[in-house]
Amino acid sequence: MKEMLKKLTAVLLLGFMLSVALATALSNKKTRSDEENRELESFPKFTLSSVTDGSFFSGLESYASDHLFKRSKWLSVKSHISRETGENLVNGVFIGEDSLLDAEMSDREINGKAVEIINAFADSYKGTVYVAVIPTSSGVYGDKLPAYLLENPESRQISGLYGRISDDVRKIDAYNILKMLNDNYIYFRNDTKWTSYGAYCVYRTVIQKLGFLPTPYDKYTIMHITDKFRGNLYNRTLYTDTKSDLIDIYDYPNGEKVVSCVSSDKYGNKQKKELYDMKMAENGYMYDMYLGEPVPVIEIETTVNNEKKLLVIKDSYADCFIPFLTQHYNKITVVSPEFTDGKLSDYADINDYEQTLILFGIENVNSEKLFRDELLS
Amino acid sequence: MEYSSLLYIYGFLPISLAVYYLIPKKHSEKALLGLSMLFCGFSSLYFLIFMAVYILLNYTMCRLTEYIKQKGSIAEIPLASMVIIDITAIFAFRAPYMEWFRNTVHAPEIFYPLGISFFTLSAVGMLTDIYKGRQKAEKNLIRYALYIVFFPRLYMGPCMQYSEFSKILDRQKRGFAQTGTGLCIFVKGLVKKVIIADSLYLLYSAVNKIGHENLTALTTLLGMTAYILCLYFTMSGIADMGRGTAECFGYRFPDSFPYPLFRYRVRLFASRWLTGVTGWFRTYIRKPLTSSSRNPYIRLVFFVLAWGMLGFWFKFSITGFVAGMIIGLVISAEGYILKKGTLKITGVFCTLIATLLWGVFLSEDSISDALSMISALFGRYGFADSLTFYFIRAYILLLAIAVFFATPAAKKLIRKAERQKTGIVISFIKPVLALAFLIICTAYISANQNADTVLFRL
Repeated sequence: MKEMLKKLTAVLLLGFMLSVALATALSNKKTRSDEENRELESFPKFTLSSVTDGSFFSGLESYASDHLFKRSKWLSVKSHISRETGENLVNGVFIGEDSLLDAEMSDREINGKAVEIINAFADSYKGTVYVAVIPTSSGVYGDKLPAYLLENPESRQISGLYGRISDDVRKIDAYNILKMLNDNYIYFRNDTKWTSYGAYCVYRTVIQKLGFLPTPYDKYTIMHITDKFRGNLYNRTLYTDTKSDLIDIYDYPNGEKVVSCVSSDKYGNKQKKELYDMKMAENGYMYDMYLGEPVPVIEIETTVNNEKKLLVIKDSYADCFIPFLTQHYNKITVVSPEFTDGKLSDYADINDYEQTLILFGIENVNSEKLFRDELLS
Repeated sequence: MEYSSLLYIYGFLPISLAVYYLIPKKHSEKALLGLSMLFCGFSSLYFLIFMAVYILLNYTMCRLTEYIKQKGSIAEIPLASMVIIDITAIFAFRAPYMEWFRNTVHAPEIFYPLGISFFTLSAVGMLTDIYKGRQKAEKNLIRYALYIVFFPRLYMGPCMQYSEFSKILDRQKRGFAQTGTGLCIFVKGLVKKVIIADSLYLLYSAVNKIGHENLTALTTLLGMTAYILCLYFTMSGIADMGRGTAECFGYRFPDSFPYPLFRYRVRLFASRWLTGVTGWFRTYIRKPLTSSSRNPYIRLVFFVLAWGMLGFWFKFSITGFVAGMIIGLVISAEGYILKKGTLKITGVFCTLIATLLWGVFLSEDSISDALSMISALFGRYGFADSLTFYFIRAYILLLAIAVFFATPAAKKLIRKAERQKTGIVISFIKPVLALAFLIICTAYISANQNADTVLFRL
C-alpha cells in the first residue's frame, strides 16, 4: 500500500514536470509580453565563447523562465498569495489598500549626469530654460508606504537635484503642488505616472511662469477614453485586485486648434500624426494614447496667433502634459532624447526658441538614454 | 544551475531521471558521473574543465600518497603539496583579498566554482585518511569522481568521509518508490527555500535598510530572527533538494540539518548545523589540535580556535571567525555553568542568546557594525516604534510558520497523526499536497527570478 502511494507520488510529480516542460517547449513563443509590457528573452546564441563563460546557460535560464507555459498566470497567482498572507511587497512593488506603489524609490541614487547635461545646455542657450522634475506616485503618496521605504524620499531627491542645477535655470516645484492636491485623482493607481488632472494642476503653475494665463478648468470638456488602463506597476505584479485606471482627454472646444502635428524618426523621415492616438488606448500600454507611439521628435503647429515657439525636452511624463500647452504657443517642438540617436541639434535648432521646458520624471533621472553626453556635443 | 531554478526542476531533473532509468543498472554510476559533469557544464565550460582537472589531480595524488607510503618513503610530499593546492584554490575563489590571483590566472569574472567549500573538505579529508592509513585510495576513478562532483551533493553536502560515501553507493536501491520519496523531499526543500526563506529575506532586508541609529531593540530582534531563520531555511532547503534528488536515484544521504534551532544546548545546535562539516572539523582539526597538549588552558584556546576556523570556513571573513569562536566559547562554558539539573527552558534560552550573537556576527561585515547591532539589541536606540508594529503585523504569520517548522514539533505531529486512524488519510493526502506545493513554488520562482538570499557562496 505504502509502496503504491510512493509510486503514485513519483508518477504524479514527474508527470506534472514533464507536461509543463513539454507544454513550454511546444507552445508558441511570443517575442513580447503585453501584460508585462516588455520584450521577452530570445533564445541565446550557441557559440564557443558563450558556452565557455556560461552566458549561454544563464541565457537559457532566463529564456526558460520567460517562456514558461502560461507565465502570466503563474505571476498573478504569486501576487495574490503574497497579498493573502500579509506580505505586501511583490517584485519591488508595494500592494496598498487601493493602489500599487513603487517600493524602490529610496534605492535611487542620483548620479550627476542630469545636472551636468542641464547646466551645459543652459550655458550654450540664449533663451530661458525651465525645469520641472515630476515625482512618482510613491513620492506623493509616501505616507501609504511603511517608514523603512522612505529613508530617501523623492522630495529630498528633487530638491537636491534642483540645488545643483545652475541659478539661470527656472525650477518648478511640481512636488509641493501635487502633494497639496493628493486627495484628488492626480496619479494612476497602477502606474508610477500622473494622470491628466495631475498634469493640469502643474500646468497652471508652469504656464504662469512661462508668461501666460492658464485655461480655467471649467472650460474643458473631459472625455473618458478608457477605464481599463493598467500601467507599469501592474506589469511588474500582474495584480488585478486594484481598480483599473481612467485615461482622460481634456478638450477645449472653443479653444485654439492644432493645425499640424508631424513626427520625424531617427533618419529624419517625417510623418503626419494626431495629438492623440486612439488605437493605442485599446490594448497594451494605453498611456501611449497621449502623443501616440513614442517617436524622437514631434512638431506641433497651432492656430495660436503669436510668434511664440517652445522647445520641450521630455520623457513619457510629459505626454499627457503637452496638450495643455497647445493653447498658448504657435509652435511646439517636442524632443524625446530616449528615442533619438546623436545630437539635439540634428533635430532642432535650439536658438530658434526663446523658451525651453525640460520636463521629466524623477524615476528617469539616471536614465542613460535620456541624459547622455552626445546630446550636446 | 541552482536546484530551485525552473531549468533544473522542469528540465535537468526529469531528463536525468529518464536517462537514469533507461540505462542498465551496471552502468548507472557512469551515467551519474556523466550527468554530474553535464551539470557542471551547465554553469560554464570553464567550471567543467576546472572540475575535471581538480578530480584528476586529487585522484593521482591520493594514489601517489598511498604508493609512496607503502614503499616507506616520505609520503608527506604529495600529501602536503596537494593539500596546499586545494587550500589555495578555496582561498583564491572565496577570499575577497585574493582578487589579484584571480586576475593573474585570467579566470572570467563571473566564474565561481560553486560548492568548492564542500568538495575541498572531501578531497583534503580523503588525502589525510589515506596518509594516516584509515582509508585505502580508491582505484576506481569513476567512484572517486562521483565523491567529489556528484551533483545532488555538490552545493550543500552532506560532507562525509569516503568510506561512508562508498557504503551509500553500494546500498543503492533503484525503484519508482524511491523516486517518489525523493521527490517529496525535493519539494519540501523547495518550499523551505522558495516560499519561507525568500519571504523571510524580505523582512531581513527591510530591517537592514534602516540606518543603525534608527534601530529599536525589538526591530533589531525581528531582523536578526528573520536572518537566522532565513539562513536555516535557505541552507537546509538546498540540502533537502540535494538529498531528495539523490533519493530519486536510490541513494539515501543523511540530513545535514536535523532541526538545529531551539535546542536546549548550544552543543546540540552546533553539531546539528551542517552535521557533516562540523564532523569534519572535529575529526581533522579540533581533535588533533586539542590532543596535542595536556594543559587545559591551551586545550581550551585550541578548542575555541578550531570553532573559529569553522566559522571562518562558513563566511570567509573576520566576523565569521568571531561568530565561530563565540559558539566555541559558549560550548566550553556550558559544561561549567549548566549543571545536569538545569531546566530545559533555561538551556533553550541560553542557546537562543548564543545563536543570536552568532547570527549578528555572521550577518555583519565588520566587527564595529556587529557591535553597534548588539548595542541596538540592548535598546540603545529605543525599545520599539511604529515601524516595529508594522513589521509585526505584516510578518507575524510568516515568522510563526517559520518557527513552527524549524522545531521538530511539526514532524512529531505528523508522525503522531500517521500512527492513528487518520494515518491512512494523511498518506493519501501526501502526493496531492506535494503536487500542490510544487505548483505554488513554481509560481513563486517565476515571480522572483532574481531573488536575493543571505547565502554565502560556499
